Amino acid sequence: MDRSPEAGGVDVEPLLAVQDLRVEFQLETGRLKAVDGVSFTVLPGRVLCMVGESGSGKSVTAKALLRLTEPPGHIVAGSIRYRAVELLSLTGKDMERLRGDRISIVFQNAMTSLNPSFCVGDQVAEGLRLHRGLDRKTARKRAIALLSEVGIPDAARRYRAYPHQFSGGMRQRVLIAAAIACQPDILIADEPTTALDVSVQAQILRLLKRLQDERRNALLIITHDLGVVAAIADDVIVMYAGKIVERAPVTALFDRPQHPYTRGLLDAAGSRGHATARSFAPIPGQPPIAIDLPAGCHFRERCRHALPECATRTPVAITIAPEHAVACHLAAAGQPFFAERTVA
Amino acid sequence: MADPSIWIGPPGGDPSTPLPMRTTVTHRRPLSALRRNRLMLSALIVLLLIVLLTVLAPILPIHDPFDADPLQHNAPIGTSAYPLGTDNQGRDILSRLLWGGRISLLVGVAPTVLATVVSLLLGTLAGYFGSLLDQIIMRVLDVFFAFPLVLLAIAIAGILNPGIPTEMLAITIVLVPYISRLARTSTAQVAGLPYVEAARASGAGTAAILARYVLPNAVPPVLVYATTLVGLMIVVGSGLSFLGLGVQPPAADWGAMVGDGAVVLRKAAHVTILPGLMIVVTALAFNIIGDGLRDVLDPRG
Amino acid sequence: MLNYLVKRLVGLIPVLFGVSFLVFLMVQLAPGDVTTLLLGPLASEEAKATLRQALGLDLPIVVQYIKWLNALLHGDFGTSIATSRGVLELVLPRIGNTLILGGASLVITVVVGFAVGLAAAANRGSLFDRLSVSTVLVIGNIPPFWLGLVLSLLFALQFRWFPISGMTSLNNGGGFSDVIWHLVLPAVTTAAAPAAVVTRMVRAAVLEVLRQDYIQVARARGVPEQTILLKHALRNALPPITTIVGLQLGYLLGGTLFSEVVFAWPGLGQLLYTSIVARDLPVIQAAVLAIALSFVLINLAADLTNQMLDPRSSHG
Repeated sequence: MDRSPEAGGVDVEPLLAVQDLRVEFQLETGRLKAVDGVSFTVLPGRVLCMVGESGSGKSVTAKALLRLTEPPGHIVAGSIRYRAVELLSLTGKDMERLRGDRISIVFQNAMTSLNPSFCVGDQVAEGLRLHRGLDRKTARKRAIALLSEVGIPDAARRYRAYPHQFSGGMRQRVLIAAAIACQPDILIADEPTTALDVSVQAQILRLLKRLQDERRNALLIITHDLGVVAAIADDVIVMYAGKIVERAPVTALFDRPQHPYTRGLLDAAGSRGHATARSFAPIPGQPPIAIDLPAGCHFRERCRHALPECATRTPVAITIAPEHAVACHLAAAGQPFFAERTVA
Repeated sequence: MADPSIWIGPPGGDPSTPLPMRTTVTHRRPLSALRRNRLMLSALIVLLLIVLLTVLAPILPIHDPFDADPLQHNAPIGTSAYPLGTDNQGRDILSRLLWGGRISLLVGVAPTVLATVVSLLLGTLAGYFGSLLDQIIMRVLDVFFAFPLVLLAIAIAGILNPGIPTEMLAITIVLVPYISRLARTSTAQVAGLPYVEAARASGAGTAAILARYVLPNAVPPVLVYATTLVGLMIVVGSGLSFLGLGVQPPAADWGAMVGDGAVVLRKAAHVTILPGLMIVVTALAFNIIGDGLRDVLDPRG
Repeated sequence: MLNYLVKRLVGLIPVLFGVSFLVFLMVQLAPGDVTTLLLGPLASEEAKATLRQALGLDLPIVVQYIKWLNALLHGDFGTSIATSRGVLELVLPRIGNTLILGGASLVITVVVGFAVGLAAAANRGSLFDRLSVSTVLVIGNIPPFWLGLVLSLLFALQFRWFPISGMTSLNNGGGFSDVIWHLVLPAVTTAAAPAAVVTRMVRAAVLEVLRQDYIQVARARGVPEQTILLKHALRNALPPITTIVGLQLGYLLGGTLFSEVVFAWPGLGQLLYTSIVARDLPVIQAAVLAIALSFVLINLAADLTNQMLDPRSSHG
């Protein structure tokens, strides 16, 4: 897996620029700040991985990008710019035109994501007919080609098959085919391999990477699995309790993690390069539920290196290296706390 | 009139298919738990009020329900001696509503109770012992299912001599197939559970198994279902009386009063409208309470 | 599909026998002596005995049943006690009238049920939704005969928009639009409660489907909200809904009975009512039989429709 770094210094126009995004859920127990001021960019032709435990806000962020947030959740502030267009100002109709066409998303529950009453081919072709205005026959031909491309054997015959005739891995392929049908600029994959068999996970990841290599779309993968990150990412964002705590190119993240949480994750997951999923048990404690959280760093309770100011001031992201930013008082204090991490 | 068979499976169909306790479509109404409780509470209060007033009718300071005032036919609401007016024979409507309510409520509740008892017997026998007994009972009940419920009640009541006992018998007979079917399925589902099998294998007597394991689990859904039927049967019963098949004049229940009022609909609509409102309110109250009970006791689906 | 049809038809046979036997039995159990009814209370015991023998009333029940069934199948439904006319000629024309009323009511039930149910589900929590749910709850508890009278009071007597009763007008009636005009109030009366139930069920079924993952996926694909509702959601909500509509058929038939009485619509229900009042047993028997048979057949049709609509049975 040889990934040569992009030519540094050239400012590439971001496809997606998210600025201070805030998503809140109005619950009976209080206001849950699921996404609490998140900012990042998605660049063309690169794979961005968003990593965090469940409850970190990563899935909520992914859905919010397409304004698919459902009540009791609401996007309460922020900006999402796709090319030059502010998505949060678009009308419903315009968003509908964008979804599935310029930006697509694939979810994790492949088993239940296909409509059981329609054949898989029609579901792949649906986007083409909607966004490209293709007639049945042309759409069908393209859909068959897509099915073939994602690795469904005997695609022409399988077009007419129904979802219940496919395994989980196959259904995920179908869903990917449907998502890329209109050649979107950005493909978002929310835990694309989590619900699948271990043996199938690698296949799906390879598929996503291959498609991305061929089509040069931006790929945003949400995951809790560092193995996925190691396998496929160009850039990584680490989320915790609704905020981004660290952002770095993948090599930098694995070699020189600056945030104690990132460090903890990496230690828990074992050596880099393992593609098998490992969940993050070993950091003691649980992530907080983001309702009525006190000021200061949300990770403070579980951090072994907490400073006094961690309890009172919220850390702000600072850039410590090219493309590498971290939100932590330790870094701000200029402590080169984490030396090169030795690869086990 | 709603339909008792909503909850139990396909029409005129195969009674041996495993039946869900509800249809697959269940969804909470958009009422928060609090509002639902308030609704149930109001319904309960209204119902208790109605029951109380009708039960106490004999000792309340109201007119004799058979007392016909020749000078006051079809008196409107608000007439001095007759707060709710009089009917076409000069009888006090308020009094007749209360006295009639006793019959309407009786005809709604008693047959349901009786039918439940009979159905529990039939249903548990069929559901627990299965095979031939089950087949026979179910096939016979199938024939009853071939008739629309109301039609069968009218046919039975129409053929026998009209009167309150006839009305109650007709309703009882008509309800038995529906409740039995649920009792049977409910019992069969419990009887098939592993721990019942285990009890049988360990040599426990049939009566003991039924009493300790089967009935306590199989009976509650049946009771819940039966309570949802009471409101319905009040409506059905009133229908029978409307047609003259139930209580006989000069006594009347709400349905009969509606029938009496029909002839003076144009000039004295209240004679028809008031008893009808009583039916609606009472049935609605039972319906709300029954729904509430069901949500609490049988939250499946 | 064909297999299913044959299976159901075969299964019908014992039901048909059972139904006819039950109807036969019901009349046998009627109090009062048929011979007294026919000959009058003053007839001699001898005359009654002779008539009893002539009518075969002294034979065992099962034999009587077979004879009766045999006569039925040859078109002999007996003679009406009240009018001395052949029962069959009394009943036959009425079947169509009841079917017209029943059919119109079914249409209203389905159209209103789907329209309101869908709209409520699509706008869950809105004022419309909450109003619909409350309204539907109340309507389901309104007795049809009372509703008929109230509608009649308002729209026939008060506003004079519709006729009070009958199927056709007396003077120049008989045309298609004339019948429709007479049909409105009785059909609405009959359809009210079933429509309320269907609305509730449609709403519940659609809401259930809208919760599914594939709906969110369709939205993520850019499918417009209206298409999601009408194409993606409805298709999956249909099978339980058609089952529910099928279950309403019994209530529709029962409801037509009351509407026919209140609005003097010349159908089977009204015939049943007048024959009950007149204690005209042969007619009662025939009317009940006719209604029951129609119900059985309608249920079969509903079952078949259900089978056709369920995608899981026809594919894969």
